[in-house]
Amino acid sequence: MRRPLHMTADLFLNKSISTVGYALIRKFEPTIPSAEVFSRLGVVDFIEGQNSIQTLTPKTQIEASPNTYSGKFGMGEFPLHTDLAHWSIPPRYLVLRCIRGSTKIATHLLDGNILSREFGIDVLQRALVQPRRPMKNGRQLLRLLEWADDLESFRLRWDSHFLVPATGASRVVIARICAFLESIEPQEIALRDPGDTLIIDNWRWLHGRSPARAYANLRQIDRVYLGSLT
Amino acid sequence: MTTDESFAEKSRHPWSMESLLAKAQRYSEEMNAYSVDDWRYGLTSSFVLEFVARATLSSISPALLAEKEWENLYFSLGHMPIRNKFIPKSIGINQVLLRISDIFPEFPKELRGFAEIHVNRRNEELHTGGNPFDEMDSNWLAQYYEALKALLSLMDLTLTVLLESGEVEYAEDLILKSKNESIISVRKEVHERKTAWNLKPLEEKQLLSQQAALWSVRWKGHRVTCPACESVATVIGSPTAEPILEHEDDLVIETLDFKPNKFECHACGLKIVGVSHLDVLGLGEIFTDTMTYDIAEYYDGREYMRPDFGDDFNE
Repeated sequence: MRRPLHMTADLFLNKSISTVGYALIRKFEPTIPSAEVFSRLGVVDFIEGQNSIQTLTPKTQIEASPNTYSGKFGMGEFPLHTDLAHWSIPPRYLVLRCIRGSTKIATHLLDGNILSREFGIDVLQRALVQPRRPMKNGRQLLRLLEWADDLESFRLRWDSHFLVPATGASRVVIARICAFLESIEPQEIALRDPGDTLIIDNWRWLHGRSPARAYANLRQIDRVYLGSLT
Repeated sequence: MTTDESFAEKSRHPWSMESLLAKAQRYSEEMNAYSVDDWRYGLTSSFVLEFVARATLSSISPALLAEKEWENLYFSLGHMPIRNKFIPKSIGINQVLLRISDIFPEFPKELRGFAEIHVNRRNEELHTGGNPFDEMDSNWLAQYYEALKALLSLMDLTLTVLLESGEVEYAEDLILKSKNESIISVRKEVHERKTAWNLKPLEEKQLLSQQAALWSVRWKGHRVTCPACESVATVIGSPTAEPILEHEDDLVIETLDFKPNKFECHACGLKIVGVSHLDVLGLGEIFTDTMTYDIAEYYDGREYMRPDFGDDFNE
């Protein structure tokens, strides 16, 4: 979606997110520190156990911690997922800002609404999953699709690595979703220039990453989660 | 222009509506491992019903599930008491159902009655040598689905949140069939009473009708015509909301709406219980009771401000 001339940047951002579900702003304030840029975009959501801004660089499995995607997939492709899907309420917005880019490594995007259309809202709402490892509240039961009453919005979660099916029926549904996702070609966006900023509705859009073997050491992305957009 | 806020949360409170509904979902799937006439099917269904009832109460606030000690309330609000070996306690299922009835007057009393009996079968299963789930009547499954449906509707949800579409269809069919059987049974009861009444001598019928009319004046309730003997009979109900007060000179007029749940005729003895049964006879509509009090009698000891003043304000 290209920003019409008469529309301010934040209005364009909100409109794009509310209609399409993501927004890409090329070369957005590349000389200004990420912290300031992110605070202009919205209210930062501080994640327990993490820095408010995380710096993402491709890592091998050996370099990375086993509780991370890099620890599982290394330089290979990251499958489509939503972030912190194993949390009871995942962060609403995910922002990826290019510090040092690459045209060879792409961010994959898929609109989660496609899952509702393919499988049905009822089926996704009945599919029960649990975190693969115990958390503070044990291994809480979560649904793939929930209705957030206070925000009048659906909340989709998907992570084939951090979530496991909780019942036999859910196992069948999840296997079907995995097979479906294998058959789909996601959109690809390369964050290539400093300041390229991608804002994603983490309750709707799945994202992943193409293999990062080539030029891996060149790419650096700053990531933040936002609880709301300005 | 700011979007609505939502911040990430790692864990869900175990008394939250979503946690309880997810448990209900898990047990609902577990039921399918057994055939309908297996005692384990019935036992597992009692878990589903209890979790859905607790989720319903939690949908207002998890605090409504807390047992009386303050630490349980504190826990329900998302805090952890520092007392050593604290184990959070929630109220029993009978209390849950009672609170649901009081908060949601639209939840039929007869379904609450079924839910209490069904969940207490689980207690009997666990605490005695009895086999309550082997001894249920054939209509239990229809009432179970109807109770689930009614509770879920209080959370703006439907049976689809627990059951696949084929099961939902089956459940709706069972509920409809049970309602049809109720209609037949109520009409049969009225017919039998009418037949017995018509066989009575005229003098006896007149005396019984007069006594019934006197009785209905003395006792609270809504006066209606008995469908069997046409004497004055009474419909009794539960309040649906707080009373509306009006003031006229030295009088207070209190108006209160009631949802009917029982019909009684003291002339022919016809008794009908349950709003769905009353609906068959056209007696299930909400009725209004209006009482007039002397102002001194109504506000005896209570602070009173003339209602034509607005709210207190610092000006």
